[in-house]
Amino acid sequence: MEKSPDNIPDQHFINLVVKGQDNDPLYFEFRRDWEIKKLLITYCEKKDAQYGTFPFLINGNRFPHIRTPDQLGLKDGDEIVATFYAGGA
Amino acid sequence: SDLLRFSVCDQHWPERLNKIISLDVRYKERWNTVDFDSKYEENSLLSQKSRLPSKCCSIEFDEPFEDVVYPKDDPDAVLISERDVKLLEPDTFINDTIIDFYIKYLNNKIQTDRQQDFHFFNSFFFRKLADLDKDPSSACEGRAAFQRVRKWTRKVNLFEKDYIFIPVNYSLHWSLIVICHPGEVPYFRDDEIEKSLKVPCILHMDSIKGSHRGLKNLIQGYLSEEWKERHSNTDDEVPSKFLRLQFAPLELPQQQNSFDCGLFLLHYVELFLKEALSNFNPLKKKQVSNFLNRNWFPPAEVSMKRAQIKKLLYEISKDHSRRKDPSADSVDEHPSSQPTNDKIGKETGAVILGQMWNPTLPGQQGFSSISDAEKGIQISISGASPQRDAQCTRDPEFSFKEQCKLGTGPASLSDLRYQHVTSRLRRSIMSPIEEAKETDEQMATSPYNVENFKQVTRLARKYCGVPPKIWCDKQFSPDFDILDEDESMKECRTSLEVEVKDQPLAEYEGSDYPETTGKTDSFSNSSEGLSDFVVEDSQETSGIAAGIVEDSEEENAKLDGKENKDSPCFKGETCNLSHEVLLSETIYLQENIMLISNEVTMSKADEQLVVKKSRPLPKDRKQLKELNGGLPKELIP
Repeated sequence: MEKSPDNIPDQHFINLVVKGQDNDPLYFEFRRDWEIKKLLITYCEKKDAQYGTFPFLINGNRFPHIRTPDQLGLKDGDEIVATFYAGGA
Repeated sequence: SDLLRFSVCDQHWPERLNKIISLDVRYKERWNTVDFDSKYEENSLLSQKSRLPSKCCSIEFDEPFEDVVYPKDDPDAVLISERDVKLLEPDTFINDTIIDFYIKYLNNKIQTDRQQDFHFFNSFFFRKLADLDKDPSSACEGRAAFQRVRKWTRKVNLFEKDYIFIPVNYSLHWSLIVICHPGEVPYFRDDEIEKSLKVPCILHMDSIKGSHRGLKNLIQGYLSEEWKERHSNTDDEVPSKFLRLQFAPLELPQQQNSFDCGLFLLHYVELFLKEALSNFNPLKKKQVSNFLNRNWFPPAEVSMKRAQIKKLLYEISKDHSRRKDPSADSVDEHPSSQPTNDKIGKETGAVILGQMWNPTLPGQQGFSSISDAEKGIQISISGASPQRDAQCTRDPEFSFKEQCKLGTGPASLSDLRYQHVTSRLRRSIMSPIEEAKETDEQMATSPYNVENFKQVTRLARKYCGVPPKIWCDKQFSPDFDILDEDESMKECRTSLEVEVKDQPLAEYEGSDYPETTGKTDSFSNSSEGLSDFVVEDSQETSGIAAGIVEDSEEENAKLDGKENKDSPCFKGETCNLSHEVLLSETIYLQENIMLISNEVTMSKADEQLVVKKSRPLPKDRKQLKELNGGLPKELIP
C-alpha cells in the first residue's frame, strides 16, 4: 500500500485492487495522473514476477498501460485482474 | 528442353548460389534467378484472394520487432511484443495475444455497418467464465460462472448480435464457440429449424473434435443468466429456452499436427466471417456449399497463417514507428483498408515452396482441371534477401546494395540478378488455377521429395557445414490416397521431370517408388556428378516458363507421361540433379508434413528426420502446465 504524501490532496488518488491467480489481492492507492504501468510494475515486483509475464485486464479487457487511471475511466475501488498467457494446440 | 524451378527461403541464398555456381563454369550462365517480388505477390493475391491459399512462405525477420499496440487508441488494445511474434515460428503454440490480435484485426476488416452484428470475446473470457484458474470442477454452475464475467458485457448487449465468438482455451488446446442469433431464442420454435433463416444455436468448432467437452451446459447456462440479468421481469420460460439451445459440434477440417490449433481457430473465424450471411442456417440438413463441413477448407491452408500474421504484425510495427505524429490515425486505417491485406506477403523475397494446396475439394474452383497438371515441379529461385521490407522496396538502391552485400560474388552478378528479377516478373505471374495445378503436381510427387530432402540434408551438411533447417510446407497432402484414387491424377504424378539442356534427358520415374528409393540412397556420394549438372540460362528459362504456364492440356500431360516411361535409362539422374540444385539452400521440412507423409509413404530415414527435429517447448506451455495444474501460487514464471 502506498502512502499519499501529505502535501497532495486526496482527490488526486484512486484506490485500486489488483487480483492475481493466487487469491492474494494487492490494494493500491495510486495517483490518478500517473501511468498505470507504474502500478502494474509494482505489483509484479511484489509478486516476484517480471512485468510483462502476465496480462492485466480491466472488466475483461486489456488496456493500454501508458494511460492513467483517469484516462482509463477507472473509479475508486475498481479491480484489475492479473491473468496469464494461454497457449495451446 | 524443360526447366527446373524451385523456391528458396534463405537469406544467405546469394552466397550459396555463388558456391554452387563456382562449382562449374557453365553454371553461371545457366542459373537463372526469379524473385517473387511485389508485383507477383500482389497479382496473385488479387486474383485469388478469397479462396486460394495466398502463399506459403516463411519470412525471416532479423530486424527487432517494436511492440505493437493494436488497434491503437482502442481501450481494449492488444499489446504484441517480440516474444509473441516468436510464437508464429513453425511448430509453436500461439498464445492468446496472437489470437486476440488477429481476431481484432478481422473485426476491423468487417464493414463498419456490420461490425455491430458481431461480438468477439477475448481469449480470457472463457477462462474466467469456466474459472479454469481456480477450480475447474466447479466450473459449470451457471449462476456462479455468470457472476465471474458479469462485468464483461456491461457495454454490450449480446442479444442484439448475430454472432458471438468465444475463443476457448483449456487443456492446452484452442477451440471456438460461435453463438448464432441468441436474440432469436425467445421467439424461436423448434419446428422452424428447416425453414427459418435465423436459427439460434451454439456452434462448436474444434480442430481436434472431441477434445473440448462440457462446453454445452456452460454456454447455455451463461446465456440464460445473461438474459435474466438483462430482463429482470422475465418469467422462467425464456431462460429455460436458452438452457435447451441447440449445441452443434461441427465436423470441420481437422488439424494434422499438434501445434496449429490456435491457427485453426483463427481460420475458422476468418472464413466464417467471410461466408456467414446474417441469415444462413447451420442446422439445415442439406448444405449447398462446403461451408462449415469437413471440406470447408484444406487443412494445409492453416499453416500459412503463421507467415501471414507475422508479416502483418511487422507491417503494423513499422507503420507505427514510421509515423511520428501520434495524432495520425495510423493503425485504424490498416485493418479497414484492403491494401494491407494485399500487401501481406508482398516484398517477401522469401520462400515460396510452391503454393500450398490440398486436393480434398475436388469440386472446388481451381480443381476442375487437376488432371491437366503440367509436368515437372515448378521451382523458382528467390534471389533477393528475405527480409526486404516495405522501406527497402521503396528504395531500390537499398535493396540492390543489400544484394551486393549478401552475394559474395562480383557486383555485376547481383546487378544481373536484380535485373532478372524485374524482367522476369511478368512472366512468372500465373493464374491461381495454374498454381493450384502446379502445387498439386508437387504434392503428387511429394514422397519423392521427401527422399530428396533427406539427401539434401546430408549433402548440405557435407558441403556447407551448416545443419540445414528442413521445412517443406504442407505440400504433402494428408489426403494423398484420395488423390491417388483419381485416375487422371496418376499420369500427373508420374514424374518429377527435369530436362537439362546439352545433357541427356533426365528422368525421375516417380511412380516407381521403391526403385527410386534404392537409387536415392546411393546419392550421398553424388558430388561426382556435379559437373553434369546444368541449369538453363535466362532466356531459355523465360521462354519455357511461359510455355509451362500454358502447357496445361491433358494431351500434353499424357504425352509427357508416355515419354517418361519410354526413357527409363535416365532414371536417377534427376535425383542427382535435384539434390545438387538444392545443395546448399535451406529447406524447412515441417514436422507435421513429415508426420502426414508418414501415412502415405515414409521411410525410416524420414522418421529419423522428424525425431531429430524436436523443438523446445514454448515457455508458455510450461507455464501453463504449472498454472493449469492447480497451483494458484504459481505466479512466478
